[in-house]
Amino acid sequence: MNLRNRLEKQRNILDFSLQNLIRRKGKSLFILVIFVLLVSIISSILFLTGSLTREMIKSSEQLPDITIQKIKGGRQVNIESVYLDQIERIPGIEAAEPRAWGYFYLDSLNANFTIFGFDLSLLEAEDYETILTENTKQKNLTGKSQYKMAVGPVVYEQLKKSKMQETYLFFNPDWETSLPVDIIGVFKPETELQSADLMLLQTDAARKVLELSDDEFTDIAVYIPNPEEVDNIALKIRRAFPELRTITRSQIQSTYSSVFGWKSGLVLSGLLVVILAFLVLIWDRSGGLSQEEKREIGVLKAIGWDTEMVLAVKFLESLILSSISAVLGILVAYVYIYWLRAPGLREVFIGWSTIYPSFKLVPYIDLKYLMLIVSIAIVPYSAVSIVPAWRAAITDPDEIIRHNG
Amino acid sequence: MRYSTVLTLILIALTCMIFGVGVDVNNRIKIDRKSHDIRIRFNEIVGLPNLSITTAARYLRHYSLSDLSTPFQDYPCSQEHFPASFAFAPPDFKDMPDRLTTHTINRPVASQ
Repeated sequence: MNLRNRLEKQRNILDFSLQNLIRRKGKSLFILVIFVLLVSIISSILFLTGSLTREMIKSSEQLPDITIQKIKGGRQVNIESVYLDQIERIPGIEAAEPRAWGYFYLDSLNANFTIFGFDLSLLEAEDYETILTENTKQKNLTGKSQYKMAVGPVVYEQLKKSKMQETYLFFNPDWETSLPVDIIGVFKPETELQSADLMLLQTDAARKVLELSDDEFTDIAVYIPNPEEVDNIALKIRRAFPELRTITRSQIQSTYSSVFGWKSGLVLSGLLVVILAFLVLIWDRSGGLSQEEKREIGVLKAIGWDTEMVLAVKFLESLILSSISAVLGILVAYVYIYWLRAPGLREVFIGWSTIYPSFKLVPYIDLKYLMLIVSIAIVPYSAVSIVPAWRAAITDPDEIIRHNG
Repeated sequence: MRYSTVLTLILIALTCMIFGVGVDVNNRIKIDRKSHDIRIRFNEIVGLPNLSITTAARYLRHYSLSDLSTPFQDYPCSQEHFPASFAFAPPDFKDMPDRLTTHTINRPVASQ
């Protein structure tokens, strides 16, 4: 048999497999839909966690080398400024910067803002252009109020609703007067994943809002030029001051990588029951051959088809169905996560808050996970379909036709 | 038309879609590169980690750093009552010293 004849024979087998799938279109369509659903659910979770982890690891590269917190009674408390001098004196430390940050709950919006104290006058004109939006970058620090702040884009939208987009009045029931703070800028939407709920206040204003006393800070950020020394210096600080806790950047990064692995594992394990139910359903619908299919194999054998050809037909049927489903499932997951921004699944990640970013993620597709999904979708299903067909194919055709006729 | 020809057309359509996704990924990464510098500068200025995807609770907003007045977050297995808490792992401060080891070590001269 020459090559052309061989190819024609294979094409005929392929035609016959496709004809079989179309003849049983109800069953084929059912398996296709279930498969697409399964693959798209698993791919969506992997895409989402991949993108978020990558974003976090990237944003952690600019973090301080060590963050120092004070622990009292097992809880974090404000750290006094007396530590600052002593920590700065430790050899190897380039700078130790005290930070004032915390949260401010606004009842009317049902939202928690992140307050961060920063000396806004330290920002160069270039910085204003880089991180703040066009319409606000020209504003200088000579506004009506004594204090200024820059806010995240989502905070700004919320304040606009309350007609406070120019000046925001901070107020707590136990304060004598409110604290007006001018809004001098809005962070660019590109920083939304980090800045959605942020209010970057002048340090003095932040200290008033957070009610920090004069010699107190929230924590101390330490910068060390030589990365080899970070762990040693952290140990030195802990030995010198047992009441302080040090958190190195590598500890935060390992938290990130474990957090989303844990998270996606949890969501996937929640879906495990559904996935298993789907698999059992597919097994049930496709695994056991129907009377008609058995008779068909018997007839094929009786008219001269050999076992190899019967198995090729069954293998092609399952291969076509599972491959198309796997590709379609991955495409659906991509559109769902990156174009539609994960409605439904997004809520698992953002909780009930009123302030959250628009979830515009940058695709991060790990090829090894895609290969895993494709092989999980194709290999077991093909095996499940071939084994019963092989059993029927090695039985005497006469017996099959008599018993299933 | 033979069934195998129809299948070939379907496969070509799927390949085109995969190619389209590839182009889309590439475009999005290019746009992201442009905004990369903005985010780097922003992170340098603020220096607070964590994405603001979960602002429901204070301990979830900055879960890699503990904050004041959140009672249970230092306990590694604590699960609070916020809906998103089931999806966040507690911080992994595995190299933290415990009270026993720190008390047995003498303070160096630098601290005095």
